[in-house]
Amino acid sequence: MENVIEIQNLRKNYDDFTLKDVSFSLPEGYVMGLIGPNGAGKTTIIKLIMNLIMKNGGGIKIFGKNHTEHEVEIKSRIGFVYDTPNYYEHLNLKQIKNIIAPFYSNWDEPVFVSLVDKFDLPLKKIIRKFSRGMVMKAAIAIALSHHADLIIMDEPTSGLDPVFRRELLDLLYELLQNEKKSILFSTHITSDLERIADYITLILDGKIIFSRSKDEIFENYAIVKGGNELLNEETKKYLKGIRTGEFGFESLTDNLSEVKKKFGPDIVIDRASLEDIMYYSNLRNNHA
Amino acid sequence: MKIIIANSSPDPIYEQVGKQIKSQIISGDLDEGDALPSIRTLAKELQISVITTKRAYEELEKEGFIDTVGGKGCFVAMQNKEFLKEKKMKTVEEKLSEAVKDAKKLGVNMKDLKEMLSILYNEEE
Amino acid sequence: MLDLIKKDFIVCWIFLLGIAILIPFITTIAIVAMIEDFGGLIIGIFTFITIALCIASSFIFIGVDTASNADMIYASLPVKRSAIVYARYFSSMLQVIVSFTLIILTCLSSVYVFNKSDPAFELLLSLRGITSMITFLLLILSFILPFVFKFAFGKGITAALITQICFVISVPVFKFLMKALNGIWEFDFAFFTKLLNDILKWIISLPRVLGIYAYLLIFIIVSMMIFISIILSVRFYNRRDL
Repeated sequence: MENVIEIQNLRKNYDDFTLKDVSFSLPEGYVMGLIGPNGAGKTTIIKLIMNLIMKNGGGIKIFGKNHTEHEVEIKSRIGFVYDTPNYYEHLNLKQIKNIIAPFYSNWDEPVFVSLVDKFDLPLKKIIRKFSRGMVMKAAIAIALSHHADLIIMDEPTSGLDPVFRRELLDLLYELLQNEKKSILFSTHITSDLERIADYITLILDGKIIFSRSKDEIFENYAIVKGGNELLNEETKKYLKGIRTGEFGFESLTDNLSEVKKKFGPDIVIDRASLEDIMYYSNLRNNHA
Repeated sequence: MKIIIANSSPDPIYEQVGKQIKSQIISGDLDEGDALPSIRTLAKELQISVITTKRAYEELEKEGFIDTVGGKGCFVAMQNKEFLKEKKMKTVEEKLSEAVKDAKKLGVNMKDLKEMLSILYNEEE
Repeated sequence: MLDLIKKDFIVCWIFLLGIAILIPFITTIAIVAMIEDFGGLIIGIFTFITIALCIASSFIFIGVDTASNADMIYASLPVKRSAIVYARYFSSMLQVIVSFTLIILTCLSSVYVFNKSDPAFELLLSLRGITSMITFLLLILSFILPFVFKFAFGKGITAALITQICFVISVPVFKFLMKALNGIWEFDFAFFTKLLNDILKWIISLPRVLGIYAYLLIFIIVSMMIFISIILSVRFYNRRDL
């Protein structure tokens, strides 16, 4: 299976933030969700992939090719949605489309028209009068109108209402019917991802905590609850981030089968949502 | 074909999908040679991930319930009658053992259980 | 690249229209005011107004793009960053020349239509005057643009202006220092002043010596400066984090 995105030991230094040794890959035909709290480095990774910022180390390959040497070819196959799309506020959507469309050799006008129609976007209204959700919809319509093989979206669902979020999901499923299409998106609204994502990459503080298939994650991660007397040096090894209270503890494990053995029958095991995983991993990160 | 997914279920989604297809093959709702929806169509319809659907199909194929024909999709495999019956018996067994477990918890003895079973059996006639 | 240039005019047409009205308007006011209040055109002030108008109007594209944070959009499109730089130079230089042409046309109209003539126009509207102005404008532009590509618009313009002001200030400061030091050490710094003056005079007299070849020389020098400026800008922009 070919990887559309292959990132190795990627590094980016800022004065107040460092992205360290980021490695992950996305096979063709699948969806990856980049999750993590705000400021964890999701946008930095996406900007590095798009070559909007320069890396300080490591390698990025898109469609199996070096992302700077084949920049133009690669970008013509990517549909990109930036987290706060900045379009000229004094222009209308039609004018903006006229600016962007000529850059893509396989721009498909009918697709664009049908998406604009589907999203209820006015072509003649200036962007300043668009709501944040509408601007995002416009960006998505533009990104999906040139038959891109890889869709990269930075926080596409923030600012969108739940109804449109579902619509977007349907649209992405439609896209995925073609097994050559892949999607990478970042979000901190994890409920969107729990449905469609095949792979999840969790970033905290510029570091990758894990990058695995979603099924694998849900098989191994779980919420563990029990009495405080169960916590000791031995058992704590299996827990990631512990919230203790007067009546007991709540924690997360990434090794469900071992936890069942070590803790015995006196614990309650709950399914961990991505949000739980993000929360407890961050908890551990901050206390470690 | 009918598949319903419960997000609240502790069973992983690929297992839920697999189980439901399996039971429909065993019950005869799905016939030999019937085409199954493609992995990507099923993922879209159920709004689950592609990789999950793929895994469900892979498990079914491993167990011999479906065949994947390259380029054409997945089909319900030719089942021999013995094999099917065996599978069906296995589900009966599973359900019974579950009933026995519950009965034991409640302290129902063997005699009462047998009686209950014969009443139920006759009622179904 | 053509699309990148075209886009500048689609995005800014309304502002360009404003400029096309504003430039003749301001120029006319300046001419009339100077002739009526000062009794004649002051070349220094008029040159300054011309430079300010032309350079400011050529930054309309960069200004609007910066205000809309459009760098990000273009950098994510399938184009090389170098193409973005080339296009920017082309449209900015085009705009400088268009603005300058507008000013020249305004001068001509004031001479022939409104009969507001002035001896200074003879120099301003001569081939020598126009060539030196365009040369000067293009040199200023080539000087500022690398700063803009290095530091983004706001910071870049500020950095470029500060550098330019430093240049301008350095001349009187240098003179003052020489005088002051002369007083203390009684050393003949006048020699250096004289040398500088001689060099300047020689440069100014070049056109007379070289005739038509002077224009060729100027053309080559300006082209080289623009070329160096573009190379610097591409290098800066390729490495900039957007």
